[in-house]
Amino acid sequence: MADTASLGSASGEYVAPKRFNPWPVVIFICLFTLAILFLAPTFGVLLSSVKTTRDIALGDLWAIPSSMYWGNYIEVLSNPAVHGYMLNTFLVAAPATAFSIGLGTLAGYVFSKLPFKGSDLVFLLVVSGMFFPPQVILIPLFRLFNLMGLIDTLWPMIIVHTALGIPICTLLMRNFFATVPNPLREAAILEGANEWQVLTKIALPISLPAIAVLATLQFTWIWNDFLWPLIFTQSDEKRTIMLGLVFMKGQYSVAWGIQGAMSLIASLPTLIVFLFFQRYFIKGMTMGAVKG
Amino acid sequence: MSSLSLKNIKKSYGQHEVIHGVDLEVEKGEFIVFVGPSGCGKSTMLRMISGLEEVTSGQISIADKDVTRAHPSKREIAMVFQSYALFPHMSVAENISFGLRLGKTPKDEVKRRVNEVADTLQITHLLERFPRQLSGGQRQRVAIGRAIIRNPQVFLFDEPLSNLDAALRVQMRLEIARLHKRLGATIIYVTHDQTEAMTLADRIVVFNHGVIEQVGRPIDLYERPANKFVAGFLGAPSMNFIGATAQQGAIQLDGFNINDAQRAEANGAITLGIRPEHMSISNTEACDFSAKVELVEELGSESLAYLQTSFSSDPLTMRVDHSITVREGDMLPVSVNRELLHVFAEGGASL
Amino acid sequence: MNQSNTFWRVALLALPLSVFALIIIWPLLSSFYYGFTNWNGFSDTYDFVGFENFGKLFSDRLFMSAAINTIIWMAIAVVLPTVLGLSLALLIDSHVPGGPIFKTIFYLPICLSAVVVGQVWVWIYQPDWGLLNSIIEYVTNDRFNYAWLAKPDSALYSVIVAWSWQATGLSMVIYLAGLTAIPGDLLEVCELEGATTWQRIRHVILPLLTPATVVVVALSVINSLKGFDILYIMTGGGPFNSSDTLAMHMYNESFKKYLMGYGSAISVVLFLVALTIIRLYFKQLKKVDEIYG
Ligand SMILES: Nc1ncnc2c1ncn2[C@@H]1O[C@H](COP(=O)(O)OP(=O)(O)OP(=O)(O)O)[C@@H](O)[C@H]1O
Ligand SMILES: [Mg+2]
Repeated sequence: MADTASLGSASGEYVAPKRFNPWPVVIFICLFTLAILFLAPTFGVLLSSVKTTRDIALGDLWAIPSSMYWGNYIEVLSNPAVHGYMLNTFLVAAPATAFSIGLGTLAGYVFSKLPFKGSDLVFLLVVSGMFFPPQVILIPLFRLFNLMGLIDTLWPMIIVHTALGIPICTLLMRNFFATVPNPLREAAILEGANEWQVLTKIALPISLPAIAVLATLQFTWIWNDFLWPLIFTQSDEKRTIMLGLVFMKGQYSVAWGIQGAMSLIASLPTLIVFLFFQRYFIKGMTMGAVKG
Repeated sequence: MSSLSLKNIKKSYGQHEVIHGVDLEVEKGEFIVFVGPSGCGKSTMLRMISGLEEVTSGQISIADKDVTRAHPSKREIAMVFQSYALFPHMSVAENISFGLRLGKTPKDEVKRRVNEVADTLQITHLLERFPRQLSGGQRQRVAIGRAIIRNPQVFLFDEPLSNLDAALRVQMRLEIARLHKRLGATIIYVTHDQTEAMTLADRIVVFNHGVIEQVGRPIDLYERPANKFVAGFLGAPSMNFIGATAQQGAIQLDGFNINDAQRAEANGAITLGIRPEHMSISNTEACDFSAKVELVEELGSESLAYLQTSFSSDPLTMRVDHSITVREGDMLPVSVNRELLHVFAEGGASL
Repeated sequence: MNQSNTFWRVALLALPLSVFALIIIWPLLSSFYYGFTNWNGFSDTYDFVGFENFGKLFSDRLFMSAAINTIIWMAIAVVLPTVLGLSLALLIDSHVPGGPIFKTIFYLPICLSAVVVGQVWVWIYQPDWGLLNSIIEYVTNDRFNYAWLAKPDSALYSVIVAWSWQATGLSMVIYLAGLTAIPGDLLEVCELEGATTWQRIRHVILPLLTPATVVVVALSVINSLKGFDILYIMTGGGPFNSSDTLAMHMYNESFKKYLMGYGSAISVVLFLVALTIIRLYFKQLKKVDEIYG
């Protein structure tokens, strides 16, 4: 039986009647068109950054350039203010990311492995913190840091981002720790470990993927933030990159090419994080959202 | 010297009491098996001994030291979990030596003892592997290794073999028995498996609804169950129970009479218990009653026949040797080994 | 054991909870307090003015229009990213070639900052050489230089479209996660029953995506309340406050006019709105959880 069948098809006598299914093609074309529309804005920045302002003003922005013009990048990269902005942003984002993950880990561990009466309520309270618009705490914090004389330093931003990161970090860490089986903790305790050792020697090493998820999310959010630097900084020396971007726009008011190059450079760290850790990124976004 | 002693242990979760006062003395080197239906409190009991759960009241002593309020790590016990609870990010050697390393034991001492234990369990070639690279049986061995390296007073096992397939379970059962002999350790072992309980235990503890129903040697529990619950729980397939009335030991059933002078105290409503292996097919004259075969299950070495009788609404189970062919619908003459009959009073106590 | 557990609970929670309380809870509560004062942002002294700030809200024409704009933003946020995200998710989930690449493309905007997104879209709407007007000119073959962001009629909507462009990716991945969670055998049953693709989507997939929809809608609404940066960049609330939202209005009153007391009153309103939405959201989540597990 099998022999004759394979013989038949090999000699081409019998071909299964295969109806043409147009749907995949239609879907592909739909998606392709949408993708182009979606990419257009980003692509526009890319194009502007390699064109002279004159070209753009003449209405040539959306055409593929015949030759690359690197002047915009040179202008931006040789501007010492930009270096300062980048450094400030990094000095805020790196510690705030680390602190918020650290605090979220501590809280998440208790909520998942050492629950107590009412802990669900406390957990809900902490997590709901991530849904409120930041404007509701803006004024008291401004006053607090003003009284402490910390306005126009990086400290308020580090502190506020650490605190604002606690809800999402607690949520994700708790959910991740919940997948670490309880007998692991109990086995370690029977062996003489205390909770700190269980956390650092057992739970955390197993939870490295969750840490990666949070690190990508937190770093991106803090890097991209605009509101808090706007409130807490005054001098150019303390500006973060997003704020710098807006203020330099005034300086290069119609120099669109330079603005484009600046936007790209400002977005580069988060773009890199995104492209390399996309999997973690998506996981964090959906985990944070779905379980919220 | 008692290795473990439980005195009037009670445990409540909120308002809900799940252990209602348990007393037990365990000798050094004894192998104790806890059995009982699901939810009766075996694991809870074990976890209270380990210290992972606090007792609500009562006293626990290990090696004659009161440890009721002691931290788990101070109780000199080791526990093997059903899920093995191996740390996935540590190699086998690191898993086994976790406790020693926490206690800052010198490196060469750790190494020596890990090798010793690995030798005992024949897992030396696995020391560098990670748990996910091991089979179920190997993981079980590592979990046991992590327990024995600390030379505890008492080993606690909570259904350690239930995640293994049947063949491996038999093999590991033998190894645990061997290990027990070699180490002379005190073991408390929870299982659902009757064979494990019967073969491993020095003494079996039967739990039900948070109390101990009976404690004793396996064969004693089988032959002289203290009550109907133990009788029905031990032995597979389980004992047949038949409701009846008795007068001074004389039990009358429709088509089946028993006169039992030894049980003269049997009066009024009683339950008669007959194990499936204590019934047999006889010839028509000598039989106790005749029954119609409702269903036959052939197990290979033997068959189970389910019998319809005039005196019992539930079918009776009977073990039949595989050499005898029994067909559904047959009328069979059945005789009962009267020496091995059980009679239970209305409250369930054995008579 | 119990004592040591209590000790560790306190030890481990102390730092996170005190930071949270100090930086989030305490300011939240003091916003209510400042709402009853006339603090100006600098002076050390201020007076209690009772309900004056809250009373003023009702006569503040700008507040009213900001509130209406916020509602418009929310309404569009419920529809646009949700429908678009769902459609994209369904299309990508159909095993189309290049699916992961499409996913990345639609999701990419989420990693850009609102500042950059805003700037990019300013260029799209640019009257002379912006992409939108260029396309319109190309299609109609006629001169067209409508200034989208400079006209009160279109400014708000133009910003919301830009915002939705960024928000769609999140909706899409949440829907995609929901789609992968649908058991394959359910879809096979559909096939055996001879359901058409449309029937399958309408009667099986969409109902099973209800939990994802609850999340997507809620997040869109909540995030629309937070929409500030992109508005600040694109219109700054203008022209003539026509695209002001509550968040923007609050910022203007507090940090431009230094009416911090009044700004606090607005933030209290914002808080109450957010609280209502969040409670609705949690309630829906619970309901959905009971039905869909
Ligand atoms: N943390 C807890 N809170 C409330 N009740 C509990 C808790 N742990 C156990 N119980 C209850 O205590 C009783 C005994 O549970 P336990 O786990 O000890 O049973 P078990 O005999 O080990 O059952 P199994 O054979 O299924 O493992 C059960 O009724 C269970 O519902
Ligand atoms: Mg159990």
